Amino acid sequence: MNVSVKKPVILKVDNISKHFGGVTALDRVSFEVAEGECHAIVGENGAGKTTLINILNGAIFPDSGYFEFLGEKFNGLDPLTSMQRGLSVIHQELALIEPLSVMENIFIGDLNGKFKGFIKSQKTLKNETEKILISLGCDIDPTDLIESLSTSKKQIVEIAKALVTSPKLILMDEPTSSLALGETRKLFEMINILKQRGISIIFVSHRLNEVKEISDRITVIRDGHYIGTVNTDETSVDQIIRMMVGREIKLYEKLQHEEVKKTAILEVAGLTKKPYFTDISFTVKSGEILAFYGLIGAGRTELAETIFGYIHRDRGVIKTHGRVCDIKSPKDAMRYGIGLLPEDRKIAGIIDSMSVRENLSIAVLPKLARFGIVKKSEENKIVDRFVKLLEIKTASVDDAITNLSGGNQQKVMIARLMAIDVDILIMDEPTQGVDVGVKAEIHKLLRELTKRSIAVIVISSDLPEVLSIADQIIVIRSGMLIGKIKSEEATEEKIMTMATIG
Amino acid sequence: MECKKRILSELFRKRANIGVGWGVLIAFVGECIALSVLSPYFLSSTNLFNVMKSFSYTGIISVGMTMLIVIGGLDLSVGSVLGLGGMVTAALMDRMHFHPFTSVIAGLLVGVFIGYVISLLVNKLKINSFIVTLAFLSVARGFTYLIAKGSNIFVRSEAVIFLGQGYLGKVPFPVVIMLSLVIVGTLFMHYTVIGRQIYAIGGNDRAARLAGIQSDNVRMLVFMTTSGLATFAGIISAGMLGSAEMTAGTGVELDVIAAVIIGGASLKGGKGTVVGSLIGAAIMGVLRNGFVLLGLSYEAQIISIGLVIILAVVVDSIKTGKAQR
Repeated sequence: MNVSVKKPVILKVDNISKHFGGVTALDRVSFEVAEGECHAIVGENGAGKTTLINILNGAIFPDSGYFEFLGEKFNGLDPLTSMQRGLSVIHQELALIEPLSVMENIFIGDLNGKFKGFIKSQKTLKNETEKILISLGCDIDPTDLIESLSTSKKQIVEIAKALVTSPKLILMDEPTSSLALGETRKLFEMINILKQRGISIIFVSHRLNEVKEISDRITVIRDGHYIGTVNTDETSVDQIIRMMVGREIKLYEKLQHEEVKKTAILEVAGLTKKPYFTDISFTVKSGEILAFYGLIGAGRTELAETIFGYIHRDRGVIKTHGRVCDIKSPKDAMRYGIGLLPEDRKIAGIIDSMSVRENLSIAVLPKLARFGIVKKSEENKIVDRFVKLLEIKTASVDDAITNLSGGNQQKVMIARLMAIDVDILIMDEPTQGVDVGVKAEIHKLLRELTKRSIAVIVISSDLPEVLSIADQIIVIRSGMLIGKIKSEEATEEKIMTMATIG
Repeated sequence: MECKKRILSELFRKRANIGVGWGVLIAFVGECIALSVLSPYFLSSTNLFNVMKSFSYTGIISVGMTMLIVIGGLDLSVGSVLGLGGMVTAALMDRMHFHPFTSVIAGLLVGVFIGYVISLLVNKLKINSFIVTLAFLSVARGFTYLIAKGSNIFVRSEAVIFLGQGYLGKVPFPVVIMLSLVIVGTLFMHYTVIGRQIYAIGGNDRAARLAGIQSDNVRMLVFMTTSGLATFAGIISAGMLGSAEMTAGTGVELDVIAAVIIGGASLKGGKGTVVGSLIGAAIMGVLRNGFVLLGLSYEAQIISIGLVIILAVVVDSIKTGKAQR
């Protein structure tokens, strides 16, 4: 499936293999990147994308094979040389120093002024930073502190930082994973500017719709094997998924909505928390999936945490089953049958010093105790039941939670909430950072939940996901409820317009 | 077969919350064997009980400190609170002529109250517990001097003296108290809801709160327990010496924290066991005893204790490093 290119090749990866112990991370992977091209690399979690990136930026050496960059052959590079030769990497987790200013961050590797050992003058730093930022078409004040910037602006700073070394190739690892759609648009504009300057981009991502939109060619790897490279114009998302998983997964299949019982479980009226959101009202019925869509920073996560009692509301009424609830803490919310699956599993979900069992049972534990003493047999029973029910793949429930894959960790988090018998489940970005297969499984799980007449509220930045799973979609922009749409009437364009245009 | 496997895995799992790491255990046993070879007197029951009595304050306070370090906190004030607890109890008996029982309860309540105030500052004002308790190290010692009014206070109550000097059969009473508290603490950490919640909060506070745990309340309980145990140790110490001394407990906080860390707890929280901390205290106690028995200098002794602490932490970091890889 290799496609010939007219522009000169600047990076040629030739038969690179890497093994970790007995595990093959990469097996004879080859591809080429042309000048000014945006080349996407896609694959499921564990396909070997990270290993490939680490080899290119010099963090690890390949076992065999080589790569050719700007006509020079390398077995491997160290990070400094690779940067000096013109290869920059922007990592998934941004590597900026929060309490320093934009300009100090951009020049952190190159602060030396005329006198060696002394820092460049503030004026020089500011001028040079402005020059770079203007060339990227954006207007961030070089003296702003990083901690005061939004995620998308931080990313621009990261790109600007990469440009200081005048790279020929920039490697971006999951650059959109922390951005909402509107911010992704800005990033894509930036990538186009870089391409026009003849800089090549390697774009590693999970989000196939974005890959389809921005890339010129796509290379697919699966289980460390090179599967193929295709021209983006000549392929479809479905074909890429087929190449990635080696089987057919219908990801965005419309959920079969069964006859929904018409009882309202959760009613929220006039909920307000300054400065996050104002006057939000909505109703969820049992067995229904309601999706909140909005850009990151629109107040969705705060809304979820307020309903759940983690943030104290300014005003507003929350009713479950028609009764007014007095929710002051997550504990209260759980008593009223509300559960929250937090957005960032690593920060707010898993307790990584504990086992699968302890993570699963921690919320339900007080119910399994008499006089404060845990009844072990009850605990084992409930843990075993949910491990079977959700098909959580673990060698033993006593294994550390960190031994599980991201998708299985997410299932443990869902089980934690199901164990306390919630009938309203709020899920904040439930499929963020999980691969295609697990995503499909979680969607299936959502369907199962609604069959048990649980009401589900999903917060998601993934528009195709929202459209395929929700019965009702609520769009939020800058803390205001912009509109409610039935899923039958919703289209991507309609929702995007509501979410972005004021 | 299946059953056997289950029992084994249960035992293995329990070690996570009850037992101690193999490294610490081997170090401790090795230390004892070496000493018993070098000094025939070491294994005599009198000497063994004296050693245990010598680290009984550390052991008693370390029960609370273990919970506190597991939950992700730290208490530097326990040494001063120990001094204050003994002083308050002795002053009430000697100068105010209170009944010994009332005086002991009052002494304990002072500790519990200090723990309550510390936890308010930590929970409500979000001040790091290191800083808050560093301040209380000074505050509590100051109050001790204030109450003492310039002189140590004698303890004449039979009951309080028994706490420090009495025997249950051949076992010194402070040792009985220490061992009972270690057992209660271990059962508490392993079998109760709150025990499990302490591990959860130390592992990830935000996740624990989102799982419905009222972590501020649990943290308050742990601070109150730790300070309360510190005053209890102070009362025992006053009984043991026959007087409440103004400088009692100076530096004890470092011994207690060292015992907990040697025992396998992590200052990051989420990890540690009460039994481990007891072994940690014992390793230091036996080491001190060994230096005395072998007639080695005090200077060499305190340097060695420092080296043991570093060794324990290095071994632990190598182990966790491997586990992560």
